[in-house]
Amino acid sequence: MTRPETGNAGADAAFRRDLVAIIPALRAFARGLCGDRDQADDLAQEAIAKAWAARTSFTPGTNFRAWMFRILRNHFYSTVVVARRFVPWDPEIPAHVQSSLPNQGGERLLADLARGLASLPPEQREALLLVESGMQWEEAAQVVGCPLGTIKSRITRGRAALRRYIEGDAEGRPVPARMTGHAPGAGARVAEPVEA
Amino acid sequence: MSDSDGAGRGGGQRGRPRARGDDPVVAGLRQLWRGLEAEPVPDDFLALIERIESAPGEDAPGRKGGQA
Repeated sequence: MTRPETGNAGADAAFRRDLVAIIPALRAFARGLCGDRDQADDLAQEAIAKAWAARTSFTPGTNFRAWMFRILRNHFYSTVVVARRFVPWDPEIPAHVQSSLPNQGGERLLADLARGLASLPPEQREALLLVESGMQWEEAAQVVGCPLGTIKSRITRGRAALRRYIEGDAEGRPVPARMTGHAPGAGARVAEPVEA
Repeated sequence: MSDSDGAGRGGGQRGRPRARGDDPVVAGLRQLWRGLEAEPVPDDFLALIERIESAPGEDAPGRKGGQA
């Protein structure tokens, strides 16, 4: 039994609990953004440290998940990508989720999806990841720092590109999505709303 | 895309991204995410949190030696 928490100690304790609870989602988002598992974990831990240092700027009762994801995303694009520490996505991701696969067809689909996701422009990839993390579109737009319409557009385009990738061309070969070779918001805090 | 292109996970909250139940892309992406989220958290994370917990009222000790 812990004694009642008051004042800053109580706020810090609550903040720590929120941090612990969000670790799995934070790791998944980092993995989706940067690819390699170890590098993604570095990114997630750095985001946690930054969040703790900035904890007094978080307003309790507001969207902690969006706040944390925004810290991680901004750190990724403003520091990590610029420094070229990471490579895009991890084609081996399906190997990590095979235990949850319903059948061989599902396994192949996930493998194709992971490869297709890796071929998406970064802004579409992150939009899809945010939505799949359980965020509403408005929350995803808040994390990315773009208009709601931009997020909707990116999700629509991303899903369409993935469908094309999975369905393949006339001969059944995957159709890679457009590769932009740039990261949204690289060197900046907010991505440009270019697709609304 | 509209707000009503299928059943979302959250039970129809306004603005919630919804997914068509028969859309393999949406279902697959969701499964990918869940697989990643379900992975065991490495000890490094727990160690970092423990350092945070052991230093109440101070900024977080940075990972691997002090970056915050």
